Amino acid sequence: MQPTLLRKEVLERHALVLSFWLGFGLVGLALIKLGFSLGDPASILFGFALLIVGFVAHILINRIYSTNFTQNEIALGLFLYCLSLLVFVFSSIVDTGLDRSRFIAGTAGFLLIFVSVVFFMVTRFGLRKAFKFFDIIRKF
Amino acid sequence: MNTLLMLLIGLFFAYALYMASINTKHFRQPIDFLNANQELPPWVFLFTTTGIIISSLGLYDHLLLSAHFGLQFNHVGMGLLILAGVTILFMKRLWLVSRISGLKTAGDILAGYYSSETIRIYVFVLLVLFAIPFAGKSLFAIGILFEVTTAGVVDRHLATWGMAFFLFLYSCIGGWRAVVFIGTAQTIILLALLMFFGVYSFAEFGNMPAIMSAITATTDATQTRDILYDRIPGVIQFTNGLGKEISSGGVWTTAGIFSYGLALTGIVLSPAFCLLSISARNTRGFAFQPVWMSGGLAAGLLLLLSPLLGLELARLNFFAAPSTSTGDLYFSLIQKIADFDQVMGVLFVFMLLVSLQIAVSFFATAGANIFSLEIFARFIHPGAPDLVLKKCARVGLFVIFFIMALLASSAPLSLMMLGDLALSLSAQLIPAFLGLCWLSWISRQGVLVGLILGLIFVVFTEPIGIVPFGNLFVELPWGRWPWTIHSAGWGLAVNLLSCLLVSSFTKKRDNREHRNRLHTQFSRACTNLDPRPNLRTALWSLTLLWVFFALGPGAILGNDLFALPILSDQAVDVGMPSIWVWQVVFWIVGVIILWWMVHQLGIRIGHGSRYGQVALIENHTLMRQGTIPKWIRLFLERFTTR
Repeated sequence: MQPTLLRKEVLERHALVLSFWLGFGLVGLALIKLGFSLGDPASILFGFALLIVGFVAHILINRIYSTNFTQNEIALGLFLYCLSLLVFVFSSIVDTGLDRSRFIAGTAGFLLIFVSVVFFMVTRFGLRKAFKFFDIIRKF
Repeated sequence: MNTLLMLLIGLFFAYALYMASINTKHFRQPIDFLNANQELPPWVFLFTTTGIIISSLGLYDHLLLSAHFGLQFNHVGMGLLILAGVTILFMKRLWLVSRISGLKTAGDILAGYYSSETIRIYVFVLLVLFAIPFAGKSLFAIGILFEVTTAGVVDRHLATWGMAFFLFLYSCIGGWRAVVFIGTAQTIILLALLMFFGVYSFAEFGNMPAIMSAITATTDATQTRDILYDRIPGVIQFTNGLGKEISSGGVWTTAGIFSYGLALTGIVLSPAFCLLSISARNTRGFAFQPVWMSGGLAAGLLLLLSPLLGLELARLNFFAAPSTSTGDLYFSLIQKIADFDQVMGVLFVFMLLVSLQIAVSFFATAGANIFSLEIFARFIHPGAPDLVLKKCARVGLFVIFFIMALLASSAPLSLMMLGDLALSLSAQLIPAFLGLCWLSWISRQGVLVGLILGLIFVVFTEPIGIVPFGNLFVELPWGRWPWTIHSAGWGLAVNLLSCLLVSSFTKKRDNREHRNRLHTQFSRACTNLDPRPNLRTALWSLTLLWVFFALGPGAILGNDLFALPILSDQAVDVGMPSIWVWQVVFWIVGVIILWWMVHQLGIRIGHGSRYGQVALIENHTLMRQGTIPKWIRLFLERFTTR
């Protein structure tokens, strides 16, 4: 059981998490956008790499404050990931100008994020418990 | 691009207002507004101070000067290592003094330690200089940046007042804690974008040979203006100063660079920075920050990346339109980046804006809060409850931002002239802090004489002193920064000399009982990791040697050492200008020395350290709080008892 954080620690953690995501998220998204605009797969991958660096920073902050991702953070992360994935898939279908290298880079990026999250969950909670997070059908 | 820029700024301010409001909601004690109840987490010191340092150095002007003077100006990035050294020397002990004495501001601490109201007044003057003119310079630059970026759509005055309003809004709502939390976000954004655009500039050139040929071409172009772009123009030049005589090859001699580095220490010794240190919960991060963040990351980024960005700016000047103004120079670069990609253009402008915003909100908020904690609480309304102090701070914030915006909009020259004094005058506090933290034999008389003489020399080597004196009395034979020595260097030279001389004659006369007790508490609280004196001697010897070769006369060797090695007739192509290699090498060595300094100086304050309480203020009749004058009491009662 995680120790309950004091109110001020909750706010401090929240402020630090936001600060890191603002920095890494801004530059990461800019690189991804630049990569797609200019057709540069390396920029796309660097952008996704920066987002993963932000994720790692978030994990380190959790470690410092001896806590986990909050429900709101998980929900927001899932929402943004699924939304951006949908946008990517939709634009891949609709945009005939999206060439192969950009598509592969984008796909690799999304896969990389997914693998990073799963890797974190497996190392943090163990294989069985990590699987249980996805095994929601048991609850029905 | 304008729409995208406004959207990004709007989103950032939404975030700032959100942070301010949740801080207010969760931290309801009035003291939290003023100094976060001295409970700031360690990471605030780690990140926010780095942003304050880069912002106070002035990234906006730094890139322009880098474009103008090239690698000779780039050498001032090494000055951040001196700044880091001063942080290591003083900030932990200042925090400790605050806990031992129960005093909350640097002005109180210095005034109490030296039993001197004059020092308090001096620190108060510094507070005002930083809060209004120094911060106002950044606000003025924000207005210019908006005007050139939007090609006049957003007028400079509108941008200045608008930005002042938004910065005031979140500072006033959230207080000190919110400002430094937002400062952390601003710092991380700034560092990330600086790295991003440094890499972009490198990619723009393609490879080092292309950068070398660009530097060579720019060097040839700048020689027509008698500026050496790729080397330091000498150890010192005995010219009469800017405005009287032109220095050959440029003004950034080693004397100029070293004295500018001393001026940068004024950032750390400013009342605002001291408040940030004092309001930290503990001293974790006080060792990591100067070594790895200021000395490592900030200095490294500026040394490695600002020549590239400066080169971009310079190329637009020399190969496009030689008579381009500085505002248009940035416009040309922003347009060039925006033509490449709109989002990148917006991010470049945002990076510059963030670097300017940090200084404005930080120094203004600190100014209002310190005024409330130190001056209002002690002299105007003694015994005022914290709620009254909070209201006073909010009113102070309004006044500061209003005056700042007014001057930035209508009288920017006054801001420039007064703002240039702030760092130099703040650096004059080095002897005072030395006496407070390390050398108990430095006397009050010595510090005061040093401060006064230092102030005179600083003022009369800056336009604020030279021009009025010339107009009113007699034209001075020297201009700004004579002998290419920065005004801080002039001031400190006289200051240190007179302080040491006077202290040696007056130390026995000084009432130093409370000071000795304070230093006894230092010995109890600070543990020395390695008591061997040989290592300390080696450390200081190495430090002096480093200063000599990195920032002193020895830096001249860097002009040619790596291109034309000693004892060799053949030129060597290292792929970079020799001076740039020298800067990188001594930056790395400097960081190692800083790391060693942190671990060997005996400044570690253990978590279980025991220290007693020492009253610095109550012992002296001069310092006792008086009763509030009747007319002030009646005036205030009208507002506080409603």
